[in-house]
Amino acid sequence: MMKFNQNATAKKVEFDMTPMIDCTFQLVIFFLLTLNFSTAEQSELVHLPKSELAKPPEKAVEIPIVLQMTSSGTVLFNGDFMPPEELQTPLRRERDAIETKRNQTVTDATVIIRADKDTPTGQVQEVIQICQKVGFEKFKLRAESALREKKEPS
Amino acid sequence: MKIKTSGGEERIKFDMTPMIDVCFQLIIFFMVSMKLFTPEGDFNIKMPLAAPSPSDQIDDTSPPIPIRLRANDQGRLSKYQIGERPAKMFPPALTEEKCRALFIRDLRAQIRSVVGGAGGPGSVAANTEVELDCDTNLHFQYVIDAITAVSGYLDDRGRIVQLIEKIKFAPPPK
Repeated sequence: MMKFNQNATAKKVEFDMTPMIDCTFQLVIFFLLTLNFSTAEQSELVHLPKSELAKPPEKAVEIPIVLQMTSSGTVLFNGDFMPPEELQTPLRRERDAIETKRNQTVTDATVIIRADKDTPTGQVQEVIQICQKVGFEKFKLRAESALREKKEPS
Repeated sequence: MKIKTSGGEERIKFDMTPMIDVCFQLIIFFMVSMKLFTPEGDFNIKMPLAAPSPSDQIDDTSPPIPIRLRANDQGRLSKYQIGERPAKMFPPALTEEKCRALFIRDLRAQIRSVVGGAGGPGSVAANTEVELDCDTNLHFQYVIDAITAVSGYLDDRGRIVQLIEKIKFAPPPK
Protein backbone atom coordinates (compact mmCIF):
# COMPACT_ATOMS: atom_id res chain seq x y z
CA MET A 1 0.00 0.00 0.00
CA MET A 2 1.08 3.48 -0.76
CA LYS A 3 1.80 5.80 2.00
CA PHE A 4 0.65 9.32 1.90
CA ASN A 5 3.17 11.76 2.94
CA GLN A 6 1.44 13.97 5.38
CA ASN A 7 2.89 17.32 5.98
CA ALA A 8 2.74 17.96 9.63
CA THR A 9 3.34 21.66 9.50
CA ALA A 10 0.35 23.64 8.28
CA LYS A 11 1.35 26.06 5.58
CA LYS A 12 -0.82 28.97 4.56
CA VAL A 13 -0.85 29.15 0.80
CA GLU A 14 -1.75 32.50 -0.66
CA PHE A 15 -2.55 32.67 -4.32
CA ASP A 16 -3.19 35.58 -6.61
CA MET A 17 -6.89 36.03 -7.19
CA THR A 18 -6.57 38.85 -9.73
CA PRO A 19 -6.71 36.74 -12.96
CA MET A 20 -9.76 34.87 -11.75
CA ILE A 21 -11.59 38.08 -10.89
CA ASP A 22 -10.61 39.52 -14.28
CA CYS A 23 -12.08 36.51 -16.01
CA THR A 24 -15.22 36.67 -13.92
CA PHE A 25 -15.79 40.32 -14.81
CA GLN A 26 -15.22 39.57 -18.47
CA LEU A 27 -17.87 36.88 -18.27
CA VAL A 28 -20.31 39.17 -16.47
CA ILE A 29 -19.83 41.84 -19.16
CA PHE A 30 -20.24 39.27 -21.95
CA PHE A 31 -23.53 38.01 -20.57
CA LEU A 32 -24.74 41.56 -19.94
CA LEU A 33 -24.11 42.50 -23.56
CA THR A 34 -25.59 39.38 -25.09
CA LEU A 35 -28.72 39.42 -22.97
CA ASN A 36 -31.74 39.61 -25.21
CA PHE A 37 -34.20 42.15 -23.92
CA SER A 38 -36.91 41.54 -26.48
CA THR A 39 -37.99 38.21 -25.02
CA ALA A 40 -41.36 39.67 -24.04
CA GLU A 41 -42.43 39.54 -27.68
CA GLN A 42 -41.39 35.97 -28.27
CA SER A 43 -43.45 33.17 -26.89
CA GLU A 44 -41.96 29.73 -26.44
CA LEU A 45 -45.21 28.23 -27.70
CA VAL A 46 -44.82 29.71 -31.16
CA HIS A 47 -42.48 27.97 -33.58
CA LEU A 48 -42.18 30.36 -36.48
CA PRO A 49 -42.16 29.13 -40.06
CA LYS A 50 -38.75 29.25 -41.68
CA SER A 51 -37.81 31.20 -44.76
CA GLU A 52 -34.50 31.77 -46.49
CA LEU A 53 -35.54 35.33 -47.39
CA ALA A 54 -36.43 36.39 -43.85
CA LYS A 55 -33.88 39.00 -42.86
CA PRO A 56 -34.01 41.26 -39.82
CA PRO A 57 -35.50 44.61 -40.85
CA GLU A 58 -33.10 47.53 -41.28
CA LYS A 59 -35.34 49.99 -39.53
CA ALA A 60 -37.76 49.31 -36.72
CA VAL A 61 -41.50 49.39 -37.26
CA GLU A 62 -42.99 52.67 -36.04
CA ILE A 63 -45.95 51.37 -34.05
CA PRO A 64 -45.73 47.58 -33.87
CA ILE A 65 -48.62 45.51 -32.60
CA VAL A 66 -47.49 41.94 -32.16
CA LEU A 67 -50.08 39.18 -32.36
CA GLN A 68 -48.82 35.68 -31.71
CA MET A 69 -50.73 32.57 -32.71
CA THR A 70 -50.17 29.06 -31.43
CA SER A 71 -50.61 25.98 -33.60
CA SER A 72 -54.14 25.53 -32.26
CA GLY A 73 -55.10 29.03 -33.35
CA THR A 74 -55.16 30.67 -29.92
CA VAL A 75 -54.00 34.27 -30.03
CA LEU A 76 -51.49 35.69 -27.57
CA PHE A 77 -51.82 39.44 -27.34
CA ASN A 78 -50.38 41.66 -24.59
CA GLY A 79 -49.66 38.60 -22.47
CA ASP A 80 -53.19 37.16 -22.60
CA PHE A 81 -54.32 34.05 -24.44
CA MET A 82 -57.67 34.32 -26.18
CA PRO A 83 -59.61 32.78 -29.07
CA PRO A 84 -59.59 34.95 -32.22
CA GLU A 85 -63.23 35.97 -31.69
CA GLU A 86 -62.36 37.76 -28.45
CA LEU A 87 -59.57 39.76 -30.02
CA GLN A 88 -61.74 42.67 -31.04
CA THR A 89 -62.10 44.24 -27.59
CA PRO A 90 -58.38 44.45 -26.70
CA LEU A 91 -57.58 45.60 -30.24
CA ARG A 92 -60.12 48.42 -29.94
CA ARG A 93 -58.48 49.44 -26.67
CA GLU A 94 -55.12 49.44 -28.40
CA ARG A 95 -56.51 51.52 -31.27
CA ASP A 96 -57.94 54.08 -28.85
CA ALA A 97 -54.62 54.25 -27.02
CA ILE A 98 -52.78 54.91 -30.28
CA GLU A 99 -55.21 57.59 -31.38
CA THR A 100 -55.33 59.45 -28.09
CA LYS A 101 -51.94 59.14 -26.45
CA ARG A 102 -49.60 59.12 -29.39
CA ASN A 103 -51.61 61.53 -31.50
CA GLN A 104 -51.44 59.24 -34.52
CA THR A 105 -54.00 57.38 -36.54
CA VAL A 106 -54.65 53.68 -36.47
CA THR A 107 -53.40 53.37 -40.06
CA ASP A 108 -49.85 54.22 -38.93
CA ALA A 109 -49.71 51.06 -36.83
CA THR A 110 -48.39 47.79 -38.23
CA VAL A 111 -49.80 44.48 -37.10
CA ILE A 112 -47.01 41.90 -36.93
CA ILE A 113 -48.36 38.36 -36.97
CA ARG A 114 -46.11 35.75 -35.40
CA ALA A 115 -48.02 32.60 -36.22
CA ASP A 116 -46.84 29.07 -35.58
CA LYS A 117 -45.82 27.09 -38.64
CA ASP A 118 -48.69 24.64 -38.07
CA THR A 119 -51.42 27.24 -37.52
CA PRO A 120 -54.29 26.74 -39.97
CA THR A 121 -54.12 29.53 -42.55
CA GLY A 122 -57.86 30.15 -42.25
CA GLN A 123 -57.38 31.26 -38.65
CA VAL A 124 -54.56 33.63 -39.60
CA GLN A 125 -56.86 35.14 -42.21
CA GLU A 126 -59.62 35.40 -39.63
CA VAL A 127 -57.31 37.35 -37.32
CA ILE A 128 -56.36 39.66 -40.20
CA GLN A 129 -60.03 40.27 -40.91
CA ILE A 130 -60.71 41.13 -37.27
CA CYS A 131 -57.80 43.61 -37.33
CA GLN A 132 -59.19 45.16 -40.50
CA LYS A 133 -62.61 45.57 -38.88
CA VAL A 134 -60.97 47.50 -36.03
CA GLY A 135 -59.18 49.70 -38.55
CA PHE A 136 -55.63 48.37 -38.90
CA GLU A 137 -54.32 48.39 -42.45
CA LYS A 138 -50.67 47.39 -42.47
CA PHE A 139 -49.74 43.78 -41.87
CA LYS A 140 -46.51 41.85 -41.69
CA LEU A 141 -46.09 38.10 -41.42
CA ARG A 142 -43.07 37.10 -39.40
CA ALA A 143 -40.78 34.20 -40.28
CA GLU A 144 -37.55 32.86 -38.89
CA SER A 145 -34.36 33.13 -40.90
CA ALA A 146 -33.31 29.79 -42.34
CA LEU A 147 -29.97 28.91 -43.77
CA ARG A 148 -29.87 28.79 -47.50
CA GLU A 149 -30.93 25.40 -48.71
CA LYS A 150 -28.57 23.42 -50.88
CA LYS A 151 -28.87 24.17 -54.52
CA GLU A 152 -30.30 21.21 -56.31
CA PRO A 153 -29.14 20.49 -59.82
CA SER A 154 -31.81 21.66 -62.20
CA MET B 1 -8.96 71.30 8.86
CA LYS B 2 -5.98 69.11 8.89
CA ILE B 3 -6.09 65.71 7.41
CA LYS B 4 -4.29 63.14 9.37
CA THR B 5 -2.00 61.01 7.36
CA SER B 6 -0.47 57.99 8.85
CA GLY B 7 3.17 57.90 8.36
CA GLY B 8 3.73 54.17 8.58
CA GLU B 9 2.90 51.91 5.60
CA GLU B 10 0.16 49.49 6.35
CA ARG B 11 -0.93 46.77 4.05
CA ILE B 12 -4.69 46.48 4.11
CA LYS B 13 -5.99 43.05 3.29
CA PHE B 14 -9.62 42.75 2.52
CA ASP B 15 -11.73 39.69 2.06
CA MET B 16 -12.54 39.13 -1.60
CA THR B 17 -14.87 36.18 -1.02
CA PRO B 18 -18.20 38.10 -0.97
CA MET B 19 -17.34 39.95 -4.17
CA ILE B 20 -16.46 36.74 -5.99
CA ASP B 21 -19.65 35.15 -4.68
CA VAL B 22 -21.72 37.99 -6.07
CA CYS B 23 -19.92 37.82 -9.42
CA PHE B 24 -20.59 34.13 -9.76
CA GLN B 25 -24.21 34.70 -8.84
CA LEU B 26 -24.41 37.27 -11.64
CA ILE B 27 -22.80 34.91 -14.13
CA ILE B 28 -25.23 32.14 -13.24
CA PHE B 29 -28.17 34.52 -13.51
CA PHE B 30 -27.14 35.69 -16.98
CA MET B 31 -26.38 32.17 -18.14
CA VAL B 32 -29.80 30.93 -17.08
CA SER B 33 -31.70 33.89 -18.49
CA MET B 34 -29.83 33.92 -21.77
CA LYS B 35 -31.87 32.72 -24.68
CA LEU B 36 -30.37 31.81 -27.97
CA PHE B 37 -31.68 34.34 -30.40
CA THR B 38 -32.49 33.47 -33.97
CA PRO B 39 -32.93 36.34 -36.39
CA GLU B 40 -36.42 36.95 -37.67
CA GLY B 41 -37.75 38.81 -40.65
CA ASP B 42 -41.07 40.12 -41.88
CA PHE B 43 -42.99 39.78 -45.13
CA ASN B 44 -45.32 42.58 -46.08
CA ILE B 45 -48.76 41.63 -47.23
CA LYS B 46 -51.19 43.94 -48.86
CA MET B 47 -54.63 43.52 -47.42
CA PRO B 48 -57.21 45.70 -49.10
CA LEU B 49 -60.04 46.91 -46.93
CA ALA B 50 -63.55 45.76 -47.63
CA ALA B 51 -64.42 49.01 -49.39
CA PRO B 52 -61.35 50.40 -51.13
CA SER B 53 -61.41 54.10 -51.86
CA PRO B 54 -61.49 55.02 -55.57
CA SER B 55 -58.19 56.94 -55.25
CA ASP B 56 -56.39 53.69 -54.43
CA GLN B 57 -57.37 52.18 -57.74
CA ILE B 58 -54.79 52.51 -60.45
CA ASP B 59 -56.18 51.98 -63.91
CA ASP B 60 -53.22 50.28 -65.57
CA THR B 61 -52.77 47.51 -62.99
CA SER B 62 -53.44 44.08 -64.37
CA PRO B 63 -55.61 41.67 -62.36
CA PRO B 64 -53.70 39.71 -59.72
CA ILE B 65 -52.26 36.30 -60.52
CA PRO B 66 -54.23 33.78 -58.45
CA ILE B 67 -52.24 31.05 -56.72
CA ARG B 68 -54.45 28.32 -55.33
CA LEU B 69 -53.02 26.19 -52.51
CA ARG B 70 -54.95 23.07 -51.58
CA ALA B 71 -54.36 21.04 -48.42
CA ASN B 72 -55.00 17.44 -47.44
CA ASP B 73 -56.67 16.40 -44.18
CA GLN B 74 -53.44 16.79 -42.23
CA GLY B 75 -53.00 20.39 -43.38
CA ARG B 76 -50.17 19.54 -45.73
CA LEU B 77 -49.99 20.92 -49.24
CA SER B 78 -51.54 18.51 -51.73
CA LYS B 79 -51.62 20.61 -54.88
CA TYR B 80 -51.19 24.11 -56.16
CA GLN B 81 -52.09 25.96 -59.32
CA ILE B 82 -51.13 29.32 -60.79
CA GLY B 83 -53.96 30.87 -62.77
CA GLU B 84 -55.07 28.49 -65.48
CA ARG B 85 -51.73 26.70 -65.74
CA PRO B 86 -51.68 22.95 -65.06
CA ALA B 87 -51.88 22.10 -61.37
CA LYS B 88 -48.93 20.52 -59.61
CA MET B 89 -49.67 17.64 -57.26
CA PHE B 90 -47.71 16.67 -54.16
CA PRO B 91 -48.26 13.01 -53.18
CA PRO B 92 -48.55 12.37 -49.42
CA ALA B 93 -45.65 9.89 -49.65
CA LEU B 94 -43.24 12.82 -49.93
CA THR B 95 -41.60 13.98 -46.73
CA GLU B 96 -42.52 17.48 -45.59
CA GLU B 97 -39.05 18.90 -46.32
CA LYS B 98 -39.01 17.42 -49.80
CA CYS B 99 -42.52 18.66 -50.49
CA ARG B 100 -41.62 22.20 -49.35
CA ALA B 101 -38.38 22.28 -51.34
CA LEU B 102 -40.16 21.06 -54.50
CA PHE B 103 -43.00 23.51 -54.00
CA ILE B 104 -40.72 26.54 -53.53
CA ARG B 105 -38.53 25.62 -56.50
CA ASP B 106 -41.43 24.92 -58.83
CA LEU B 107 -43.46 27.99 -57.85
CA ARG B 108 -40.42 30.27 -58.14
CA ALA B 109 -39.59 28.91 -61.60
CA GLN B 110 -43.16 29.49 -62.75
CA ILE B 111 -43.28 33.01 -61.31
CA ARG B 112 -39.96 33.86 -62.96
CA SER B 113 -41.31 32.64 -66.26
CA VAL B 114 -44.30 34.96 -65.81
CA VAL B 115 -42.54 38.15 -64.68
CA GLY B 116 -39.20 37.65 -66.41
CA GLY B 117 -36.15 39.09 -64.69
CA ALA B 118 -35.63 40.81 -61.40
CA GLY B 119 -38.02 43.29 -59.87
CA GLY B 120 -37.46 46.93 -59.11
CA PRO B 121 -39.15 50.19 -60.00
CA GLY B 122 -41.00 50.01 -63.29
CA SER B 123 -40.36 46.31 -63.89
CA VAL B 124 -43.02 43.74 -64.70
CA ALA B 125 -42.55 42.14 -61.27
CA ALA B 126 -43.12 45.44 -59.47
CA ASN B 127 -46.46 45.93 -61.21
CA THR B 128 -47.63 42.36 -60.77
CA GLU B 129 -49.84 41.35 -57.92
CA VAL B 130 -50.31 37.89 -56.53
CA GLU B 131 -53.39 36.64 -54.73
CA LEU B 132 -53.03 33.61 -52.46
CA ASP B 133 -56.12 31.46 -52.25
CA CYS B 134 -55.44 28.95 -49.48
CA ASP B 135 -57.46 26.15 -47.94
CA THR B 136 -58.45 27.05 -44.39
CA ASN B 137 -56.66 24.08 -42.81
CA LEU B 138 -53.40 24.56 -44.73
CA HIS B 139 -50.42 24.92 -42.40
CA PHE B 140 -49.07 28.47 -42.23
CA GLN B 141 -45.56 27.25 -43.18
CA TYR B 142 -46.73 26.69 -46.78
CA VAL B 143 -48.09 30.23 -46.97
CA ILE B 144 -44.68 31.59 -45.93
CA ASP B 145 -43.07 29.23 -48.48
CA ALA B 146 -45.35 30.56 -51.21
CA ILE B 147 -44.57 34.17 -50.22
CA THR B 148 -40.84 33.32 -50.13
CA ALA B 149 -40.97 31.80 -53.62
CA VAL B 150 -42.97 34.67 -55.07
CA SER B 151 -41.22 37.60 -53.41
CA GLY B 152 -37.68 36.83 -54.48
CA TYR B 153 -34.68 34.56 -54.51
CA LEU B 154 -31.08 34.52 -53.39
CA ASP B 155 -28.48 34.94 -56.09
CA ASP B 156 -25.11 33.16 -56.15
CA ARG B 157 -23.60 35.72 -53.79
CA GLY B 158 -26.43 35.29 -51.30
CA ARG B 159 -28.07 38.64 -52.03
CA ILE B 160 -31.85 38.89 -52.23
CA VAL B 161 -33.23 39.54 -55.71
CA GLN B 162 -36.67 41.05 -55.36
CA LEU B 163 -39.51 39.71 -57.49
CA ILE B 164 -43.15 40.42 -56.68
CA GLU B 165 -43.85 42.75 -53.76
CA LYS B 166 -47.62 42.97 -53.89
CA ILE B 167 -49.01 39.88 -52.21
CA LYS B 168 -52.48 39.53 -50.79
CA PHE B 169 -54.84 36.87 -49.54
CA ALA B 170 -57.98 36.05 -51.44
CA PRO B 171 -61.12 36.70 -49.39
CA PRO B 172 -62.00 33.51 -47.50
CA PRO B 173 -65.06 31.60 -48.72
CA LYS B 174 -68.24 32.46 -46.87
